Amino acid sequence: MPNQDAMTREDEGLRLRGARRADRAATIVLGALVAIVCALVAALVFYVLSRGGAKLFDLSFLTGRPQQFKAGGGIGPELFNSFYLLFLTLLISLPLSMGAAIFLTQYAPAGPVTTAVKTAIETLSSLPSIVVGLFGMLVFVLFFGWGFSIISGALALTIFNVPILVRVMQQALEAVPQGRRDSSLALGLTRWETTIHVLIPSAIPAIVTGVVLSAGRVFGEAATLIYTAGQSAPALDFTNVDLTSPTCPWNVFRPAETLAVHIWKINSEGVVPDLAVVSAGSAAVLVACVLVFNILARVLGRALERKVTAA
Amino acid sequence: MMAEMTVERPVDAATTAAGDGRRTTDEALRCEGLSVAYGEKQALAPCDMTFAPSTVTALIGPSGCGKSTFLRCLNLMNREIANCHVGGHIWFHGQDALAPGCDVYDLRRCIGMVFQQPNPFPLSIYDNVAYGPRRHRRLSRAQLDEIVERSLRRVGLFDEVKDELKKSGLALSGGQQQRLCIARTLAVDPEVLLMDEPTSALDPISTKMVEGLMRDLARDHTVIVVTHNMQQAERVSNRTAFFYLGELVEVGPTKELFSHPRERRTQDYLSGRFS
Ligand SMILES: Nc1ncnc2c1ncn2[C@@H]1O[C@H](COP(=O)(O)OP(=O)(O)OP(=O)(O)O)[C@@H](O)[C@H]1O
Ligand SMILES: [Mg+2]
Repeated sequence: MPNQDAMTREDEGLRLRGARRADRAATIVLGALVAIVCALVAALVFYVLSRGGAKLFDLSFLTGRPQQFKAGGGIGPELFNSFYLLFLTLLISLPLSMGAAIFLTQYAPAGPVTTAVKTAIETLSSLPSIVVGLFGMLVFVLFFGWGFSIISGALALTIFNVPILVRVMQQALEAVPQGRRDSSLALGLTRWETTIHVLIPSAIPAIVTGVVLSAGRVFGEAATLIYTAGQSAPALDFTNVDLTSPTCPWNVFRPAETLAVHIWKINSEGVVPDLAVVSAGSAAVLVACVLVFNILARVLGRALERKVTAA
Repeated sequence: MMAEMTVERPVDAATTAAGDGRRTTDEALRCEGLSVAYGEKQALAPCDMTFAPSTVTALIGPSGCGKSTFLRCLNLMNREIANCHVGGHIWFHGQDALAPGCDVYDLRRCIGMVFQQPNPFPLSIYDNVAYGPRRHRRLSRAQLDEIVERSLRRVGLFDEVKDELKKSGLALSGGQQQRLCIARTLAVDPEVLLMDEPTSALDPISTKMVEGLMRDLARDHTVIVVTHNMQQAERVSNRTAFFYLGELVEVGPTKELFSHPRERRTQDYLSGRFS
């Protein structure tokens, strides 16, 4: 009997040692994988910034007009277009996806229709962006006859953005503790009041994080816009408030090349002599903006989380 | 439909004979042939029970026997669960809460519920308590202040938090959070309070406070509490109901039920022969 005890103890010891070795090995392998990912990101950012980083502080580059044939062009209109398109896209896609997410998580009865809608949204979110762009061209540019315009681009970007936002918001709403929702209903409040006053405030940190991250994706999107918002950036006159004039910055029916499209275009068909410099500078600005979005997402998310849970 | 069933139902001694749903003075809430099924699966066999005003009724029984299911019926929270079917009648103020015309929002305001996990809203302490009243009625700032203070005082929380009403309800301790949730429910002035294991997530001191609160609330409320703690049932309740495997086995005055249970199954449960 004591012998057997010793045996099992030894077995146990061996097993433990094996498990610990496996655990150590896993730690090393996983650590290495994470290191590779980090190195990739760092290398990419470093490369882009080292080539065009200087342009980040070059005011004449950031605000100047692009040049067709001579060196020294800027990216002013492109930068403005990128932000304006992002703003319009969020303006359209936020209420849409919020409504869809609330409906899917709070109102839709579980059933074949809901499952179909959820599958459709997931499919939409994995659609290649060039396909979304070509669809946008067929529908908005040609069928509705809006031409290459900001509105066509913003709507195409909405198709690109809504599925991502719906999923983010759905997850955020589903993560709200069930008891919180039940407590509100048990006070005699309707589902709508519960959604507005309890669920959304509870989910807002996660929603904001998701929205800002998706904004980074929209900001850097090119394929969707090439055939919808177009590849030309007419000169903008910020004193012009005539919404039908092609030089009015706020006119949504004017063509608008964004920063990402600009990079694609000068690299594929540009003829300016300082092409490499402009392209590297634009890329640096783009990457810097996306980085800022990502940091903003974290900071805002955390700040809101703190505001909601304490103080 | 229910009356035609031949199964013998445990008869609550306090049940009044009136079958027309008329409210008698010693009745705040009465269930008649109340049954619940989740999909095809019956979770609660038809049962009758009467709750007298200004009493605490404890619901006891092993896990999964249908206590929460029964409790959730009483303020129609089961409506929120897809494929949950409730049969029978729940008479409240002479009206059948299960009849199609019943206003579920009004009913829930009169029959409040406190849950097992303390779950304040992500709002300030003040807004947590003001939440219900604000939605239901137009109130002046002063009226609202008065309701918040009265509700917080009732649960003994006002002196602890009066200087930090702007602080988030989530920043309180677990016991304080649960009392805040009770205050939030009291703020809409319910007649009946349903509590589903309200102290199971609390430490002994907070538990004592909440138990004292239940006794105090029973002066002008009808309190129905689910508990796994036999001592708690003995300490706080006037009447106790024992559920077993989706069936109401026995209900009676707490002292009587604990000292002389009529049913064998109650006896076995109380002596810990099954859990
Ligand atoms: N939403 C639901 N869907 C399907 N079945 C359910 C649901 N809720 C409860 N049930 C079933 O109904 C029965 C009673 O559950 P209930 O939650 O009422 O038990 P309980 O007495 O409150 O148990 P506990 O003491 O563990 O809280 C259980 O068999 C459970 O599996
Ligand atoms: Mg329960």
